[in-house]
Amino acid sequence: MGNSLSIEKIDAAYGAVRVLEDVSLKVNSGETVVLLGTNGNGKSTLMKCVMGIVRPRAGAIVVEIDGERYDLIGRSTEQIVDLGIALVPEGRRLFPRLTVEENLLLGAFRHKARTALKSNLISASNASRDWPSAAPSSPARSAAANSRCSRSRAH
Amino acid sequence: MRKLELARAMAAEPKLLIADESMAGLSQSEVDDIVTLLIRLNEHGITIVLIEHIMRAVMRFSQRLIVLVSGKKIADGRPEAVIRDPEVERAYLGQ
Repeated sequence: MGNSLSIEKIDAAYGAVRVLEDVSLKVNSGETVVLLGTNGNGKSTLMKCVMGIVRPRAGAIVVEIDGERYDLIGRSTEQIVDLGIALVPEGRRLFPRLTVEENLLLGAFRHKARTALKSNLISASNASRDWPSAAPSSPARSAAANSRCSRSRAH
Repeated sequence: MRKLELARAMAAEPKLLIADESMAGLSQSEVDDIVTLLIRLNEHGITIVLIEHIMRAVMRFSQRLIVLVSGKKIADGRPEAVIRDPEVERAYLGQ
């Protein structure tokens, strides 16, 4: 089942400042793709267009998720996340006053993931636990991977 | 913290994961750890798009490299070829 992303002729702007001009790209199912460019060249804006955070002025964004095609233009960010697309934004965008477990719970709370909330949480914790060579003193590892610490604050 | 951010994203069971500079400010060994995790996630069928500047991670992780300059795509292809593209060298690598 395919999980791909197609961006066609996207134009985007912040007010009068044009940020993206006629950008097209395809990410094939199962591929690992890196967007490279110095700051201010439109990489984050392009991904914000995918997530419905920035509305492009022109162009199309289509994903295939488990073989089903979805046009993302006009969808809300919540709907896009619900399709199975996740963004880890730049900067630290955790909820510092919530525990690690509570932060993970928020991630696991998209509509389709709710039915498997507990198993998703365990999977996310296991992903952290399986990290090779992470220092035991690393806050993320010690807090996220060690159940004794799963209620430690995320800062 | 970056690992927790990724773990939180993974808790949503994504099929397509986008990570924006998720390795910024990390040590070399931490970068290696995150790349290893991302490769493992990809092996489980998750399509992954990274925005990343750390070339060590870029070259180890990417099957394809896309370069944007001034809001336009200037290169798209195999990483080894893209980083030798004269336009990319001029615009991004400053050579």
